[in-house]
Amino acid sequence: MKKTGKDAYTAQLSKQLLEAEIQPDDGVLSSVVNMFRVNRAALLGLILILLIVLMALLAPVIARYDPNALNLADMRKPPSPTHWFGTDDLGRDVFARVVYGSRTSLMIGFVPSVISLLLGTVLGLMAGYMGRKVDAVIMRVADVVLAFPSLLLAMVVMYTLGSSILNMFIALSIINWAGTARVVRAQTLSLREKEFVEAARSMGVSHPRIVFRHILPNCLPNLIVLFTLDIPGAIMWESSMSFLGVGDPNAASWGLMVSQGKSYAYMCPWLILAPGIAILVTVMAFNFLGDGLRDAIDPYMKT
Amino acid sequence: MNELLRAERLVKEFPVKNGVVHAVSDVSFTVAKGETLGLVGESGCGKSTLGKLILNLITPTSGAVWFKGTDLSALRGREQRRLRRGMQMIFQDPYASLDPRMTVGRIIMEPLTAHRVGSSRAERADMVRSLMEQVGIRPEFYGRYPHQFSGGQRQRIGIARALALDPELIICDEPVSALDVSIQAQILNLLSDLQAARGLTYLFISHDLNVVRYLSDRVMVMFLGQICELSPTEPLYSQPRHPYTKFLLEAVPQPDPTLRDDARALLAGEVASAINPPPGCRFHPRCPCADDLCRHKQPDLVEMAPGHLCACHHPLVDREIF
Amino acid sequence: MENILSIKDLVVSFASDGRKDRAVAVNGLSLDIPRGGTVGLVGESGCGKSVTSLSVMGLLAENGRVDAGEARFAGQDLLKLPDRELRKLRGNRISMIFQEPMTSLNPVLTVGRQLTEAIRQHSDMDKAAAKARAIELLEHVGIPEAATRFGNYPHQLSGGMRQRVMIGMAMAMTPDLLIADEPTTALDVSIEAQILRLMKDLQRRHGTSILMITHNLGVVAELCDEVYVMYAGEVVERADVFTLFRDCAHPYTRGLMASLPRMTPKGQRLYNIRGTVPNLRAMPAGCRFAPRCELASERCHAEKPGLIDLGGGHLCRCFLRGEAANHE
Repeated sequence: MKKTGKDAYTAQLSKQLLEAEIQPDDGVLSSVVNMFRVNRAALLGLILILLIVLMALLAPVIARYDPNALNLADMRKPPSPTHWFGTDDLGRDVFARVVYGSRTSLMIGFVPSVISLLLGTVLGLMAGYMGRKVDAVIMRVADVVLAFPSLLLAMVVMYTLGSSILNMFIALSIINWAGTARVVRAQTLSLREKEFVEAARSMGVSHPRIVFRHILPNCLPNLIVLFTLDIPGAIMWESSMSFLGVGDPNAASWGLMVSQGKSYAYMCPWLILAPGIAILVTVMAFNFLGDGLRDAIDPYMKT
Repeated sequence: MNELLRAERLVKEFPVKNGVVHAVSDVSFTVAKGETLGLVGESGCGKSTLGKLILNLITPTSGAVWFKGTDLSALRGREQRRLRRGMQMIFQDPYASLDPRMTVGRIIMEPLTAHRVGSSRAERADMVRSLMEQVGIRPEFYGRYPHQFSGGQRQRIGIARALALDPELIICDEPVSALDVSIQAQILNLLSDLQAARGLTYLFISHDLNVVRYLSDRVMVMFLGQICELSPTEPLYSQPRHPYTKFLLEAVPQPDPTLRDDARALLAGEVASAINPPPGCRFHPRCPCADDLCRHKQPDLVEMAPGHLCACHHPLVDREIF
Repeated sequence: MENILSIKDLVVSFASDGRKDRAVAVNGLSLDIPRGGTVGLVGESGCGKSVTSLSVMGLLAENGRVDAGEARFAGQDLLKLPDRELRKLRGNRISMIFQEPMTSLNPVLTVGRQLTEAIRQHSDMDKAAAKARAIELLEHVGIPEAATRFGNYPHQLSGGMRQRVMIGMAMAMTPDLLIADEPTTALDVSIEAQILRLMKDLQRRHGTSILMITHNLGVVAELCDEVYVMYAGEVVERADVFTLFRDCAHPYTRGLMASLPRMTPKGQRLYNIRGTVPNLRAMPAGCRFAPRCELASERCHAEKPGLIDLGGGHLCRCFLRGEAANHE
């Protein structure tokens, strides 16, 4: 068969080959939607998280009392129709404090997770893509952070910088970035060797473009999973630290409430049960969601 | 002969734990404009490494690649990028070679963007659509993702991407070995149509001798990082000079049961490792004709017939069978 | 001739997450393997050839299910056999080799240990004798320095060597049936030729029947006596190997044969089958090959052809019965 030129050739092709069918889209999004349909725990997690976020946003509407209003006449009252979760040793409404506490706790969950996500991603990408000395330096620092007992490290930071919510963010970011950096580095290393990255290099695509257009987007699903699992981690760390007395005494977080209620644990169990359960539910909700997302995203990442 | 590409004494060695991998050892050849040079050999013979050396994806230990009369390694930065636009690559694995998170349109557009071809995004998108049509993918699928396509369709997308910068040379690294037989034929036809329409030059790397025969004007056989035979296609298949080539040709199971021969000679032993290869002729441990000379002295690539080069101390003269 | 394995009307389907409908991967497949014979099961990826062997062996993935059919091996229906019995059969009378032998070798035991265990399961040899026999087998399958390799772990061997160990293991067990699923696809041609020869040798020595699953028509021509060609979950043609390569009837088989670059000179177009394999969940109503077939008539699109005997056991699933299919 002789070709006369490009045009004749194209015409022939359009007759012969353009019938190609393609598969319906089964992208990440639809596999996530599918996951929620099958994985009820993840769906429950998502719903609970939405409710908690809503609670934080609408705190003044939900709580009937000012969380900081003292009422010395009603000290340490057990749960009742007027005070659903009872009152604490200063007569403050525990329900209102739990509702408002969600603001602090969610913030403590989100802010350091965002910071450590950004920091860990940038450092992980640098270590994985640039390799050699940069990799060695970043990963050794990460190793030191990971080898240090996290709680101890965070407490040292708090003691040095002082107990404030800002320093709490810093402390939690410091203990969290290294894990993210490791994951991102490992993925960058494997993506860097993929044929599509090699293809990009063979076409003369620049390094920054390869990192931001090819490697980062392919890390993203895992980063989302990591992020959803970092949040409950941060909430837990903050609770532990508040319990041990190194939290911000003015930030009314759930962890601080448990800490303050611990002296009355036997007499007034609601003082630690209410915030304790709030922590438990929140952490579990995020973990359910994170695990579900991981299940949905992992098989997709393999193809 | 109008020379497009010349490899000059290319050497690539990687240090590993227990020695040095001699991936490519002193390989020189030329490719003329418009021809297809087939490159065959078994795994570990250095054929893929050679392809990457030519594209400068890895830097050679020594030697040079000349493209359109210019030594690529003598150029830096922008100049080199400009010259390298003329060389593109088609990859083996149609699943791994397309970024799963990019749409087909963006994948094909990427080389255009990287080299600032076209004045606007819209103009580039038009170019992409026309490329898609040329390789047999409907332009309507511009916004779809690679995983929605079959292996053969993905390979077409990879070909469109390689064509985007209107290259003169395309290095095809096993472009059909991951595909089913019927799809393989579609892609081979597409490659030869594109060659006819655009005057492309191919360096076609494959382990499949039948495929190489179909597509190539000349064939180069590699063994452990060295060229053992380089010849116009038909003479190589009808009268191989190197014992290794002969064995390879014999080993391919032919789709014809009447050609069965349980007594034919098979190449014994394992595919040898390129780590610390044997002295002398690298093929000698597996070669039935090897003697002392082969064990000690490396054979040179000698012209046996016009254009037919062979590196063997005891080349096969006529159609003898051992 | 007596059949060692006889599969009848096998239907296998798969479920996938969040979907109610199951994808039917094998749709009413029948296949006989005569004792001592070699049967080839050919087809392109996704045609159901591997699923067939896995379901017969009870090795389907969790989301797979045999919906109907039977597979008689020595009088027993393998599909109804309890797991324990099937496992015993697998280690004993039926051997399997896969494309990647790593999956069937235990990575934490030396190849020698695995081989001796296999030998001792089948004889009353003591340890020393079994070891001697194992080394002999390794030598026989062409593994250099067999005595050293005896103490190696699977990952220390090359792909070709692992495949040879698998064949050595099959030889130790002298199975009645060897199921080989693309055993040479990952190997270089020189190693492929060696493995094919070893399989023939195994057959000659022990009368083992072989089911060869492959996409490579060259391998089929080299090894098989009879061939079943599968397309989209169904057998479309069955013939003895000489008839098939000389005079195949089904348009799909013809297309496959014609699309092989054999002696095709450069510049001449290869025949190619247009389009792609249909989606398992959206099979054409009539002949499954009709959308890609150049000869398809309205009837082909509307009505499903059955397997027609063209004489001498040459079966073909096509209304045109081959006579009119001379389009080459």
